[in-house]
Amino acid sequence: MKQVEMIVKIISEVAHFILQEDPNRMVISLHKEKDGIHLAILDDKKRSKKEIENLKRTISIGQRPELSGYYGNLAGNNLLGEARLDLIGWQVKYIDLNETRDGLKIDIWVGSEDFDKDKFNIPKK
Amino acid sequence: MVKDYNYHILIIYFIAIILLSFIFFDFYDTINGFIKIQASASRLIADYFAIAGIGGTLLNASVLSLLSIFLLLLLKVKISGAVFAAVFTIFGFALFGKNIPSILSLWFGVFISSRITKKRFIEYIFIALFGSALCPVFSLISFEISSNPLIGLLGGFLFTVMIGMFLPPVAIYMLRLHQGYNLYNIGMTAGFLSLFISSILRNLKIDLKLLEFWSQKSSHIDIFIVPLTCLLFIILGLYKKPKEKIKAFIELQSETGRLPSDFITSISKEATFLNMGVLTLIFYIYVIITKSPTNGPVLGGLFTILGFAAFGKNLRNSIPVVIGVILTALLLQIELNSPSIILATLFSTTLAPIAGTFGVIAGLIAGSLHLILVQFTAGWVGGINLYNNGFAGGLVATFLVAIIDWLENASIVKLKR
Repeated sequence: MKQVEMIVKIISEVAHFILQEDPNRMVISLHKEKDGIHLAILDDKKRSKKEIENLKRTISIGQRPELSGYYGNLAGNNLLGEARLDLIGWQVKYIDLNETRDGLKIDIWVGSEDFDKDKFNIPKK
Repeated sequence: MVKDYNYHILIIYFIAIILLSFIFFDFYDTINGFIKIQASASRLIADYFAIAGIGGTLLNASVLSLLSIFLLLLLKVKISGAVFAAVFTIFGFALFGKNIPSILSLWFGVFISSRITKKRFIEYIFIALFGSALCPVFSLISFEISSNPLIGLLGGFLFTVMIGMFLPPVAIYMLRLHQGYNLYNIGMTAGFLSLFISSILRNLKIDLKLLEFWSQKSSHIDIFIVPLTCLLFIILGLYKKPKEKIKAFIELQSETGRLPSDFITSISKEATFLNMGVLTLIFYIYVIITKSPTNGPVLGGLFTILGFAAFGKNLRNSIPVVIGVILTALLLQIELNSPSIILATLFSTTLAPIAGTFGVIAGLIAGSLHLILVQFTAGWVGGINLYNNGFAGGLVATFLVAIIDWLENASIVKLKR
């Protein structure tokens, strides 16, 4: 998949996820480097601890090429039904989700095979 | 290779079926039946029980399932609901349409497709595994229409490889068309491609009458295989802390089932096993009550339910669709155990995500439309698409998704988000 197309799909699916909760504010920030991209999406909607836990479980599956190569193509093409962050989680280098003072921050790192995660300050588990 | 005890369970299971086929049936009959299947016509409905006997059919299905598992292990595919769905769908359809040469030709075509697009084969693995829906094209060209066996085999191989090459792009687009509301997406894809393939063949004056190999007898082997398989998965599901597992199983029932719904990841492995066992057992009881023959296609339907109970189907989303099919059949005064109706009942669960997402009424309508359509779709394409119900289901899902989306945009209906 072309990188631009992939980023558009990711932004579309995450924006769908954020907007379905009807926030007053949504900020999308993109930082591009030679071999990777960092996307940060913020909103001002408070979520319960259980919701956050469920979301973290959904996105923490890790890269699953066998699923992303086929079903991952649904990302960003959602007409009906809920947005699904697992479709994103399968195909990116890393995705993290944290509560902020006002709402939620989703960090997504997309990279090529030469992606150097150290350049992007990915949280150590 | 992936070290996962779930793969071991699957391998042991299919080896046990192979042993069963040799223990219960004559050794030479089983081997002869197995060889006969590899060179027999496989379009709908080609019940291998009627064509080659039960022993050979079970051997064919188990060998193909083990081949699929080998491929999954070779590509280091982690266990998921999709793995169970793919392996048991292959086992089920290898009872009435899939054989070794056709499946290998198709996989090779999908492999070439991945090379062309510079993707890893693992990214298309599920398209390859489910894609064997078009296996009958191989036998049609090789054994049904060709007078020269060598040219026939070569032609069948080349044509099937070409179909395999086109499968990934079309499958991905079909997924977007029905938005993941048809679980057998490759059925829709194969049906779409079959419209072109059958039209080409008909333009070449090739007659594509549907086959009618439908064993009326009950195989009795189902008594050993189906309930024991269900019991195995129920035990695996309830093993250790059964109360917690039942709670998780109840939680699983609230899943919509929309593609891709991997219950193993979203809920738990044990709850998924429990769902597989319980759902399949309910449908098996239905087959017995309606006095349907437990032949290759019917058992194929049950095993497909078993697999997809790990990847989208549960009690809450499957039952409304099935009731829609049954009520429509009763209204149309068609016997519930007639071939098209019993198969439509089992395979209509491809539309389970419609009921899971939009509710019982939508599920009933989906089931009803499915039955109305599915009786004719096989004839449109000369029976070359094994997942005929996936094709009809895809058309129904696309139609309903379009209508619901239109109504929602016009604020006539409001969906729960």
